[in-house]
Formats: sequence, structure tokens, C-alpha cells
Amino acid sequence: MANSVGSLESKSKGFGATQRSDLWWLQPAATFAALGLFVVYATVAAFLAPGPVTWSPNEAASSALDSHTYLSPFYSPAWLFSLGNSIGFPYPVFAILWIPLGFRMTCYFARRTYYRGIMGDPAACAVAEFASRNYKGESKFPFILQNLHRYFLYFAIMLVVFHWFDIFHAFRSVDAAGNHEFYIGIGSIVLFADALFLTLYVFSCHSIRHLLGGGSKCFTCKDGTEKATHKTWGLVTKLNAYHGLFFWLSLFAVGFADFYVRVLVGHLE
Amino acid sequence: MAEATFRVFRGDKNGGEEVEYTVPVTEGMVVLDVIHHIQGYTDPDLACRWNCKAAKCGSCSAEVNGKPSLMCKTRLDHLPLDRPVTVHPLKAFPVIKDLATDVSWNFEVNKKIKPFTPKPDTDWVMYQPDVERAQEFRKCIECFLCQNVCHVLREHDKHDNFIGPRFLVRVASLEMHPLDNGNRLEYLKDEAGIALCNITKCCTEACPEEIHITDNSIIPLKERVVDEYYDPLMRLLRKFFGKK
Repeated sequence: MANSVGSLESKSKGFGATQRSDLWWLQPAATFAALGLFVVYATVAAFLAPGPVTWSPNEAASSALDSHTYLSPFYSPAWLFSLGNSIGFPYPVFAILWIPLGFRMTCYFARRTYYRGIMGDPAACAVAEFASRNYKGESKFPFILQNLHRYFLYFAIMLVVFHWFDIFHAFRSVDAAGNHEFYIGIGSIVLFADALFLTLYVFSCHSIRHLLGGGSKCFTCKDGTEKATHKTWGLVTKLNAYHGLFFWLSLFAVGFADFYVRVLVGHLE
Repeated sequence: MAEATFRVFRGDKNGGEEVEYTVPVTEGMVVLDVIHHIQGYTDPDLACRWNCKAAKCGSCSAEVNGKPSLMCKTRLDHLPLDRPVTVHPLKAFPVIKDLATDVSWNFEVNKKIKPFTPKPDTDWVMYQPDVERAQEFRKCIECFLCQNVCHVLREHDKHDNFIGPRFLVRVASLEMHPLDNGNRLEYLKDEAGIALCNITKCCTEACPEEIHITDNSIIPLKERVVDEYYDPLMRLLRKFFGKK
């Protein structure tokens, strides 16, 4: 049996219009909430403390940068914070934060995430957006700057090294006499998780996959001997499959690590 | 016997309407079976393109409940049948009649891509590690669901400036071919419009062959364009050490 149910012209126009009957709005809404929460927290936290947020079981040592146990990852590496301070940055923490901010903003996975969740461009597949013939994608300013991702990657790799250096501090404490001893607390585990997830996130990046072999025309050219780039590319390719997961885990871990150290220091009381 | 209601688009390039059909549902049915039932018992003039009914010819692409899908691969037991199921033609291409769309634009785009270009004295020996990357792209059945779901074509109507995911996959398969000597980077940047892609991955989600279109073809191509046009350090390295 066939019945006409009306002309299509009256339907599906305007932002969010779609024939999809599933919960397509759930993912962009969750993304908006998660990213929004992190941005608000990170902004407030960055403006909250004038100096690096450090904590040590020995209170006398907690304020000394070279003898801390826990250093909030927002302030790692501490020497860069000091450098920002010495050249007169009003908020020296931004001498550090431009690196993770730039890396994450230009990250291929993050781009997908915020184009969908924040900008609604599109909010979900086969869902109408603010259609415009002036759409330029990433071909014009400011989005053409996404091409700088690999430069942020180089700095992010340095950041990974410094985060691991801070793990060395997170597993030791300094007593009143200045002696170092092994120490482990919940914060040590939290900071370890932050360093681990940051490492996995950075080394699963699409740019590093390209630079470590993906850009090659072939892996065995001329004599059939496998080049090292095939192995490096293969390894990063395996990690790259979980790049999105590592993005979220590292974002949560860095936020939670900062929150945890601030709770210990008493910033949030 | 259980029944379900389907709202199928009937019309042409000048417009159309949804027509409601009630169809008996049996175990294992797919949406293409519903269309065939309508053709057989109610409206024999309902137009629909199909061929293999095995998700390999890429002909029966449509939008089922708003989702770009192959009708032959969309099982009814995966759809909520307590309310009407909509079946519409691909939105990114002009409708010829009912569910059949004119996808000839794709074939015109394909002609503009520099074909496989080996060196004149090529030694025709290839090794598996070199060809396996591009083998994934050979799975493409040209259903054009990726082209349809891509918002650059679907929403922004950039058919004159952007070749779409399917043809970025084809360019990637050529660029990654170990014996190809052609250079398509200028084409990618200036004519193919790769920068218009903002990597929202809808093409990957829509692909019935599960090709990792974004991660394995579009992003590697974007990185190659960055090598060539946006990375002064890479340019300097090429100058000193020669082309990679």
C-alpha cells in the first residue's frame, strides 16, 4: 500500500537538520562538555598560582624547585617557567602552555573533535550545518596554521622528556637534612600516568608517523632490503590506531595530575 | 507476518515527496529487499540502481534513516521498525529518479588525476612491504558514500574545488605506489582542494569496505603537501640531501 506523506521541500533545512533517527547529538554534546570543562579548569588553574605548584612530604622542601617531589605538569619544565618569569611574562605559565596548547589544537584527532563538538562543522555526519559557499576549510587563515602541527610536535617531544624527568622527582623525597630517599605516593602514580599517556599521545601522532617513514615512496626500494623506516612506520601505525584514545587519556591525566597536586598544596581549599 | 512502514523518496531533479509503503518483514531482510518488494507488488516504476546484492558493486547507495548506507548491507533487524524507516537518494548528487542519482561528476573528476606514471626504464619488481599500504585502497567499490557524506560536497557544494575522499584515496594509492614517478602534490594543493578537508572522518565512518580513508590516505597526503609547501626545514633538508 502506498500513501504520499508530503513534499520534501518543507523539510530538513537549517543547522542540525537531519533524517537521522539515532542519538547523533550525543557525541558532539559530550565532546563540548569534556573540552569545555578542561578549558575552563586549565584557564582558571593557570591564572590561580603565581609560581610553580609543587608539593613535598617535607614541607620545608616543597617550595624549592630543585627539591620538590610533585610538580604540577602544567609547570613542567620548571626552568621554562623560571625563564618566562625572568623575561617578565605576566603569567609565566604560558611560557610552557603554548606547547601543549599548540600541539593539541593542531592535532589531527583534536581537529576532528573540535570541528564537530565545538564548531559544528559538521556536528555529526549527514547533519546540516551553517552551509556557506564561503567555506574555506583549512586553506586560509587561521586554519591554514594547522600545517604547523609538526613544529609543535618537535616541542611536544621535548615536553615528554621533561615530564619523565619530573617522574624521577616524583619517586623521591628530600628529608630535613637534605638527603634524598625513595618515595611513592598516589601522586607519584598520577604523575607517572600523565607522563605515560602524554608519551603515547605524542608518539602516536599522524605527523610522526609520516616523518618516521610514512612519507617514503617505498620501504625496500632498489634492492629489496627492508629499511628501518618500515619498522618505525609500522610501530607508529600500531600506536596511531589508538591516537584518539591517547588524546583523551592524556588530557584527563594532565588535568587530574594538576588538580591532585593543587589539592595537596591546599590551593583548592 | 510482521510488517514495517517505509517512507521512500519518489521524485526527480525538480523535487519530490516521501511515499509511505507497508511491507511484510521476514528474517534476514535488508532494505534492498524492501525496495524490490515495493517494485514487485506496489510500484513497479520505483527507480533504484542495484547489481550484486552482496555489498561489492557499490550500486545501491542511499540514505536509510538519514545515514548513507548500502541498501543491500542494511539489515532490517538493525533498524528501529516501531517507526517509519526513511529511504532517500544520495544528497550530494542530482536525483535522476527516485533512488537513482547522477554520479557522473565522479567519473569526470577521476579523468583529471594524473594516472600511474612509471619511470621510462622501470624494473618491474615490487616487494610486499612497499605495496601493502596501497592494497587497502584497492578495496574501494566506488559506492560514493564517502563523497555523499563529506560535508564539503554535501553541505558546501564545493564540487568545482574539491575532488572528495574517494579520489583522495585514488591519489594516495598512486602516490604510495613504489614504481610510480608522478608528482601530484601541486594538483592536490591547487586543484584537488585537499585543504578544504577538515578531517571530520565522516568518510571513514561511511565506508562499507572499512577503508581508513582519513588516517591512511587523506592525512598522509596532507603531510606530503606540508613537506612540499609549508615546511621550510624539510625544504632545506631536501636541498642538502636530495629528494626523499
